[in-house]
Amino acid sequence: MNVIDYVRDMAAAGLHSNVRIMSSLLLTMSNNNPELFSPSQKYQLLVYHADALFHDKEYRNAACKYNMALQQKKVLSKTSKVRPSTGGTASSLQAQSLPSEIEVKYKIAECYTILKLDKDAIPVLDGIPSRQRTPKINMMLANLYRKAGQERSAVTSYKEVLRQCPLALDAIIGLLSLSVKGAEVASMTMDVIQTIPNLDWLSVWIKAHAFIHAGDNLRAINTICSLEKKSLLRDNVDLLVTLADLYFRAGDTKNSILKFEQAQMLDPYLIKGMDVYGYLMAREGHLEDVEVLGGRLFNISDQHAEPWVISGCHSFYSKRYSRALYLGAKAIQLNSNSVQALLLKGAALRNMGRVQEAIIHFREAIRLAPCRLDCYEGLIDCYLASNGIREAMGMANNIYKTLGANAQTLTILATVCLEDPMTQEKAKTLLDKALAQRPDYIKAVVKKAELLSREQNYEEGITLLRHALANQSDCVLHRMLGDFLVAVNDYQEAMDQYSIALSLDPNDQKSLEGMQKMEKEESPTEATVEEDGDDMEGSADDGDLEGSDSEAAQWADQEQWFGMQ
Amino acid sequence: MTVLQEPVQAAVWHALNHYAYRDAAFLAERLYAEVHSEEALFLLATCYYRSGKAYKAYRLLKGHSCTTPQCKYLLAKCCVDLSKLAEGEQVLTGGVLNKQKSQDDIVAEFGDLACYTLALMGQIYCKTDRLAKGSECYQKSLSLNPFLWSPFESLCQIGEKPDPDQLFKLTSLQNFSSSISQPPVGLVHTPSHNVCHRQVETVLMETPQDTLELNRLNLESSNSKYSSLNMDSSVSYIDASVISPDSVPLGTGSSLLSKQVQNKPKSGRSLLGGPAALSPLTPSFGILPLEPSPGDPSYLQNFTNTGSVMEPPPSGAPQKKSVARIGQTGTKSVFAQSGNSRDVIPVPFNQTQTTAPQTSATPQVLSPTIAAPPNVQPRRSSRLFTSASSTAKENSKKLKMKFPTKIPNRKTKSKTSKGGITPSNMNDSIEILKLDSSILSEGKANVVTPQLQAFTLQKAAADGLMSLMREMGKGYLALCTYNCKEAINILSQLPSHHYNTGWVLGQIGRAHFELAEYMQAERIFSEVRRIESYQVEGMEIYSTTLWHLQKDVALSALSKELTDMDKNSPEAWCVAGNCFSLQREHDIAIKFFQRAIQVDPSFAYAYTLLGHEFVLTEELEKALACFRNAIRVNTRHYNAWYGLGMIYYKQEKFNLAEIHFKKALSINPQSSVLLCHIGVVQHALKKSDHALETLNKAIDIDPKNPLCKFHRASILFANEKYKAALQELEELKQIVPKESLVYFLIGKVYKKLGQTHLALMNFSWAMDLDPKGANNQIKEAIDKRYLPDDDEPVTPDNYPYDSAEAEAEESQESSMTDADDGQLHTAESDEVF
Repeated sequence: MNVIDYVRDMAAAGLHSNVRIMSSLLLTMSNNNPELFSPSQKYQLLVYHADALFHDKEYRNAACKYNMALQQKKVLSKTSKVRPSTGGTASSLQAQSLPSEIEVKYKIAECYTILKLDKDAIPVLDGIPSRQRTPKINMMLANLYRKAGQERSAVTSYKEVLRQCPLALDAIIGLLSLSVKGAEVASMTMDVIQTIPNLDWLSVWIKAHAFIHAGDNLRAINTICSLEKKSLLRDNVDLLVTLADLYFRAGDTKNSILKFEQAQMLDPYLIKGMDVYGYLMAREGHLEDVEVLGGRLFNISDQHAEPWVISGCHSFYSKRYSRALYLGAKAIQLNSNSVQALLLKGAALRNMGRVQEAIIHFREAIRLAPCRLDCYEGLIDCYLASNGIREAMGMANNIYKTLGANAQTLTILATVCLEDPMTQEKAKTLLDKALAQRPDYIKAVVKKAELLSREQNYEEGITLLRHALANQSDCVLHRMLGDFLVAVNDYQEAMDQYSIALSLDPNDQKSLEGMQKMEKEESPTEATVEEDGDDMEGSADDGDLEGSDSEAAQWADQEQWFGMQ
Repeated sequence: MTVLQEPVQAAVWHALNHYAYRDAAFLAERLYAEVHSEEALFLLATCYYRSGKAYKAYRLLKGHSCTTPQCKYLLAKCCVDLSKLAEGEQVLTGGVLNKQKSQDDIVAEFGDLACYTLALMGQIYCKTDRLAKGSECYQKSLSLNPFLWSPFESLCQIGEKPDPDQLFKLTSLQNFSSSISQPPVGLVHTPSHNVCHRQVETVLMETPQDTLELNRLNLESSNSKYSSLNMDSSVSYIDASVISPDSVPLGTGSSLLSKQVQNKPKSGRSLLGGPAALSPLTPSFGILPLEPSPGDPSYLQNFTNTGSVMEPPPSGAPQKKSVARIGQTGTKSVFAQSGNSRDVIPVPFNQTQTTAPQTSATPQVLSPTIAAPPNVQPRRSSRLFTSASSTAKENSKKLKMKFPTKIPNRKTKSKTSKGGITPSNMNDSIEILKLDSSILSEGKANVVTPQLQAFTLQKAAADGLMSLMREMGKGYLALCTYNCKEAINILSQLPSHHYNTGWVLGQIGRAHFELAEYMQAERIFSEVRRIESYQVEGMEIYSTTLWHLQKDVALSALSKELTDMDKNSPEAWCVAGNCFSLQREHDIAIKFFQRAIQVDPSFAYAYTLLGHEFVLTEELEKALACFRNAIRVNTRHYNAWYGLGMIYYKQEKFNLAEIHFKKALSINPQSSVLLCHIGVVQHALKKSDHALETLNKAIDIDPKNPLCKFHRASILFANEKYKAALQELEELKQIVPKESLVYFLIGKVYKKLGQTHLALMNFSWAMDLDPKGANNQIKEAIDKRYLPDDDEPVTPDNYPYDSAEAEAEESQESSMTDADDGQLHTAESDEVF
């Protein structure tokens, strides 16, 4: 047993720090005296040394050492080819125990991926002949291709993974995200599904994800709900998070929060999707809960983007934009694919007035999540903030065309139209369409009400809001109704509506303002009434004043009498 | 697995029914840890909820997807308890993408729970200010189950005017069942047939017994299963031990019988459920409807038949009274002995029995059952029986006659039905109708006569209850629309044993209170205290009554007693607050009112009282907030609207004041006091004609209201119509001869008319009658000379309050006077001091 065997044993035993020191010393020895170790031994040493470095997270260093090892391997194979006969059995034995070249290449690719050097990683893996690729290589390659936008190659790689491992669900998701047909994907797994009992839900699962990636939120939700109803898959956290995310995308905040809450209760260590949850809660105004959630997630891991995003959302909604910007940037640094982080940073930039930078971030978010409407909304807001109505209009039209005419897209388009005085009428028809599709869609109702208040069409606004409030209770709607009622001088009802709004959200500043404004308005109107009254019944007024005067005089008399008594 | 759960479940229910919540929760926790099924989850949540830990049940249920209606309902209930209304709504109605389920969807989904679910939804809607939807839900809930009182109460409270005659009647229930039995709804809904029948009994029976019976059922069925399957002896041993305490006291005559009957559907279930055996829930829902359905049509037929026959008699009120007396003297014992425990209920049992197995799978639906030992509740209901049925004696006779023959009858019936079902209907289980008819013909032959008999009885009982509820409903509705005299009228006509209960007397007391008849109110409330000393509801009104009557000793005694009894009720703290308010310890009173709000933030009256206290301590902003809170909690709390108006009046924002007074008036249109205030405000707004009109209206409503008359006089005086004023004052003098202010004003009028002599005379009378008050006026008069801005509007304000205060201290006889103002519990008078 030579020294190399000892090192190998140490490496196998996981004593990486020890391997690192020892192999480093041995490599220096070998460099100073090339005769000491055979090329294959040196190759082994290099690989072990690189492994140790990899474990110490010195990825760049490790990659360099792996490359050196590969180089050594090439030499080795050449020399072995030159002298094939000598020591045949011994060398073959050695060759067997040598670390595999493919494994080394995979490690190099892994290092590059971690170092975010995708461009370097792809050629390394590409260099492996397709027949020798293991599923994990295919998987990594597929992911890299997808990231780099080489969709066709990505699809083939994913399919390769699926061929070898039919239950590789992440590969299935990958395929679906590359707009491969659900049926096609399902067909690849069908054989397995049929042979294994209790796995019949898998086809439904695939269908659900196909809907998700096709942007058909409604059917995706229905499919996942049907999955969840099966008692076998009840309370699955991943399903719940997916469902919550879908609700969020479909604009159903209430359900989304409920599902996130449930998922979080089932698995307190859950990180995935929590950024959306935090964002939703912050948007709904539950800032304290957001803070707690952020703190909790930081305890679980600060190496994920989510806790940073949540904390950022908290800062953003408490109007500390620069802090939000920093936190968003940190989140992006940790995970450059985090849509929520990009949105946060973009929104913070926009609110700090750095619109151009914000636009870049929103664009990136759109690229990563083409089905999420809030990315587009953010971008459109940016355009509107920089007076780019035309760009905003183009964008809105684009969404409208690509994502179909649903209530949400219609409302976005209408929002843009509202900004332009020329297209008010169009906005109105669009909003009407949206409301026809989803009569309870709050955003559309709010916009329509704004439009009506601009037109001073208060009566219609009141009926619209009352109609919307019949089915749901929402602070903003009540407040708007209050404003409308003030406009038509119905102070009584307005007061009611403001107080309802305040009871729903005690911190709603605008309702408080509205209420105070109304109380103040009340006095001036009273004053004006009195002024008016002065003109009309001035005499009566005077008479009364006189009356009081006379009364005072009378009191004086009385006093006298008592004085007399 | 489900078979193994049953003994544990039975043990849990047993513990629950005997209030051993900790044991029940512990066992349920074990069960849930073991099987982790939704059924067990529900059981555990029920244990938590029943032991008063709604938050526990909430968190437990929330952490898991709830799919069964029972779980959803319980979760929603917890949400409402924890005031997470939006979430509760989402749980019940939330569909995909904000689309809400319609009421029909809910009825379809929740089946026999639908009436409670809808009531809960109504509560949510009303609390989130969607009254229209809320009232829809309540109405629907009532139409599903006319035995529910609280939805009706809530309907009245939100200002709807539900018609008790329409709501509390059994025909609606028949419609319901017949509509459901129609094919379109089909299999899924067949359980709700039983709703109506079961509800008939749930009202009559107390739940503990029911569920206890259920336990036994569970136990016995599991037992039989074990024995048949030759299972582990240890398990069945446990069973036996659990059973024995039950079956000993109950197992007189009926236990044998009930056992047999109980085993019937059970065994049927095991027969049918065995091969199917999809999940613990499916067999009971899918198959059992077969069993009730054979019975149902015939039942319904009987129901309708008897309905038409029986309807006329209970309508006559006098007749009812006499019958009721008969029931008390003659038949009560009969019912207590035989009727209650055997005759009356076995037949209902026959139907409920059919529901029982399905509830055993989902045990919270308390199936009411036979062998309930006679207790207070049934006895009362037996009285109802008699009161409604034409002649009690006849009935009881028939009962006695029928009794022996019935058992064999039913047995044969159960056997035939069993035989009918298992072989043939297994095959074509979907065609219920066919099956119905076959069984119907089969059943008719041998069962109809006893059934008819039983249904006559059952129907009569239900009708009796319905007519009672109709009457009470009318009374309550009248009270809620502040039609107080009518309310008193209706409620006083209730049979004396109902009249002399805390609830009825409490409502009458409130009606008197609203009419400002404090003496009567006090008498009634003290009667309530005597009959039901544990009654807390309504005591806040009592305390305000005592406050108005200035009975500080009684008030402090009441306060002490109530706070000792229940520290968690807002009423008790309101009483304490009122007590200190009367002692002019306003700071302490404020603390107590705040405590009341703390205890129950949804108690509107506490906010109002606190608001009044703040007015007394001149913290008007805080008072405004309090009144607004009261309105937020209950928009129909007119006292708070009044309070707001009063504050705005003080701040001389007369427009706002008028708006608020008018709002209060729209809630309570019969109140002369409110009209009077509106008149005063209108006068302040220089709308003297309107003011006079309003005051005339007020005087029309209450011709002897001195306050209104006084204000009318002073307005007339201000408008320089001295003659009219003088006449008014002369009339007023007749009503309240000892009121110094009247003389004072008369003096002023004479002064204006230039008759100094008469004026002087009246002034000195005024001085004589109330030297203290007059001095006050004089002092103010002096002040007024130096501070001329404090003029006209203050005077009408101060006079009446002063009068109220003065008189209250002076004597009780003129309760009318102090009443009118104090009715709304404004103690503004104190400001004067």
